[in-house]
Amino acid sequence: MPIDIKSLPEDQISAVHDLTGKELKTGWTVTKRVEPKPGSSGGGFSVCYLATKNGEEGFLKAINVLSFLNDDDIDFTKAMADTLNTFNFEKTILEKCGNQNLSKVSRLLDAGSENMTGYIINNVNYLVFEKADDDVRNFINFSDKIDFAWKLRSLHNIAVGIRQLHSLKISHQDLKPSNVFVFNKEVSKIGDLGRALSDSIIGPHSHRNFAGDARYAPPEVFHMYVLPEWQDKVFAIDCYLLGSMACFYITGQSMTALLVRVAFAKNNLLTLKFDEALPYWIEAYDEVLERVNDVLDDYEDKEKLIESIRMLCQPDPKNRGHFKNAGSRRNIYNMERFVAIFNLLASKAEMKIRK
Amino acid sequence: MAFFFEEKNRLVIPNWRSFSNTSKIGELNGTQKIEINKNFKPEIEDIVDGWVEHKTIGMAADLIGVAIVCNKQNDGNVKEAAKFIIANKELCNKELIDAAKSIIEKGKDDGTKLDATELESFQERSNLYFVYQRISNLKSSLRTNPKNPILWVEIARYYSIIGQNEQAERAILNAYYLSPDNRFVLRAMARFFAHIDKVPFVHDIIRKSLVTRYDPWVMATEISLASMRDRYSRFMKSGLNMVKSSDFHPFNIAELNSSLGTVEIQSSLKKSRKLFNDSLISPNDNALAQAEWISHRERNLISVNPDNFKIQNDFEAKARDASEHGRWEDAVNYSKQWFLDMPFSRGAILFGSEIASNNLNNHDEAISLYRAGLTSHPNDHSMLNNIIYSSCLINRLEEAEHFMNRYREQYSDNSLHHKICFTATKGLYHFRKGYQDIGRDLYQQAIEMASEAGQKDLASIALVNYIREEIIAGNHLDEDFKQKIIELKENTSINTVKRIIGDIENLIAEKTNN
Repeated sequence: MPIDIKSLPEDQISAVHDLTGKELKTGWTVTKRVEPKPGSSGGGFSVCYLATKNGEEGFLKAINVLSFLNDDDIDFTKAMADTLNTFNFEKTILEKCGNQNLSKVSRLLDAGSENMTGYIINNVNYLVFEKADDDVRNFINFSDKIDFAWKLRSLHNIAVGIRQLHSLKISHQDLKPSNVFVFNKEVSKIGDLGRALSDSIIGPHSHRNFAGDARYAPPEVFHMYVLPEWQDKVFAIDCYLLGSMACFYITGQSMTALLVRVAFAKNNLLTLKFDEALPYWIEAYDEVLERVNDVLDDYEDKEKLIESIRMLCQPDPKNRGHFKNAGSRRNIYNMERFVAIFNLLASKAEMKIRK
Repeated sequence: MAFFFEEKNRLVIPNWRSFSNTSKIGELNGTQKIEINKNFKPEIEDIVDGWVEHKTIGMAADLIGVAIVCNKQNDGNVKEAAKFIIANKELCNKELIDAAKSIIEKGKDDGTKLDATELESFQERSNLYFVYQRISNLKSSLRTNPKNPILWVEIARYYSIIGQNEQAERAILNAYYLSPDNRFVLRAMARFFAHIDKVPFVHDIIRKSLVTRYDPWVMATEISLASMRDRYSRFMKSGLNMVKSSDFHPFNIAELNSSLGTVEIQSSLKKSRKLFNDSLISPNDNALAQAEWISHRERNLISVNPDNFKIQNDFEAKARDASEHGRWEDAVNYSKQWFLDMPFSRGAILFGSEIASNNLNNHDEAISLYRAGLTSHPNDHSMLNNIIYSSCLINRLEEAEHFMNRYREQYSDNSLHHKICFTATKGLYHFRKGYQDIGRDLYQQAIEMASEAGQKDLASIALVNYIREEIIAGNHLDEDFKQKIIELKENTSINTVKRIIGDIENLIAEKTNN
């Protein structure tokens, strides 16, 4: 009688579920199983643990090639191949970042594979990241003015992270609150590069025009409008997502949520092509910025902050980016000016607190 | 005497409402099937998991934001997160609290309620303060967002409401330069330029626009504009093919059917009837009003009862229907709502005030309508003449004098029709002021002008108005005039003449009794 694999406990099927207490070849000792980060690109097909090595704590993400076991109507071979490809892609991207010492991108500490006996699936592939305190959603509130300096510094950190990735011709594509991690309660870093796009590393999402989470995506994604140049297409999206994070920090809502709430109360924009819908997105956008402006109340640099969001999140991707970059030979979506703006705003706010 | 509003022809020129109202009515939605991003799966389970694990404000905020994008506001966890936000207001700002409230209240309000058009607001809307305030706000927004075409259309609309047509024209052209193929912009332009008698200009733009070839809403507008220029639209054939195809929802081709039906009535009643019937499958207010209007003009074409349709802001159709059935007060009230819905509309004012004045003999009501209409048409000679006429009839002579001065400032070179009416109105004013000789002389001039120009109807109206004034002034009526009244009573088909003769007879009867 054949064994019904589905009826077995998962820690007997695959070693990936049974790593707690194990010492890995890379020197990491697995201490505790934890839930994958909600909304992370690998959340569905990874099993996560905490691990330690030489007193340092790491976040271990092990790939679960049987994550589709209970799904019906799935091409199992293809799903498994996709999972492995995604894992390998993220590993390659992270290694590329690691080689460049990107300070504001969640660092890959180790990657390895183990072969353990006694399981149907013996092989375990894993990545170990530096361990964050948590993602930003568990740090933030939306009223405390003292916190505002922290938020501005966090935005500055995120902008630096995006700039660092762009310098390697990598677009994050999936910047959202669950992918911003806080370290030592101070530093923010962007993580989860599973949906990133690179001009040189081919991954399972490379053929897509947008690989990230559509629930946070800019308007053009809903209409499948795409800029012709690869670099413009992907960096324009990162610009929007950075501005959208700023909106989240200020209002508690992403730019997409704010736009949808305003625009769709009047009109079903999804019935229109992008060029037809664009004037209506712009109209909603202006209303949203007025609302963000209202929330900022008497913040002394609110004009500068609003102006930055305005440039970052323009519904028309062609008009996104700092206006001073337009017409120059540089990439118009260059993050440098926004890094400088957020740094200035954060520094001013921090100085004000110290006084 | 009053200048009569004769609506010989009505065309399907788009109604120009605020962007918000136009959108909510559904006139800006897509008309064709388009490819949707299949990667978008509106699922929220992963974010819900995060919320269940960590019930923090950040998690709750993220969850409700994603739920809004995915239209999952009714999910139990989302509602719980929204309540959590409300319960922790001290950690939240106004925007987040509003978002949470919108989730808790989802379903209680469908969000499609249009801006107020309640009758009670009619008097306050004659006060232009709110219009100037809106213009000021829009100017401020446009300084920050000069590339927003919708804001330019909105400000043009408000300028148009207060009759500042030059500013309105500049603004609407800015919208056009920013968004030359946008339906809302093009249709607003059509209405505005029709309103300021620059039909050829706007028709040439819309005729050449790329969007006119495939958008039934804009095509309908083009066909009507061509009719206004007495031209046959080049889009008639493609329009007929479009309405025959099954590619469009009936609502999206209602105006097109209506426009085509209005043109086809010249050549084939049968074709026209089919087109009008199709326009009523799922009409907007404009298509319904057109059908209502045509049903009075061509009695055998179609029969329309606006109450059978559930359409928002169908005030014009209801006003016409009420008038047709002699429900005069209803007709005036619907005209007011029609005006509130489209405050630059001349038709609403002239339609309602004429009924108030002629059918209800309620000159106070007529004056209040004219006053409202003069805000967006400050130089309209018909309205100015008629407000003077109504003011004189109820002896508000100072008010009449004020508008007389305005009339004189504006018009030195009027059409003969206007000259006749205004000369007679001046005659009325002088009679009421006690200057009977001057009044008599002016009435005589008006009657002679009308007779010489072969305008028998106008001459008759001037004559009965004059006779009424002589009686009110207590003067003896010559036998000649008495005879003329008897002849007119037997022969005239003009309701106004009949009504004034009725007034005269009552006055004579009153004097005899006294």
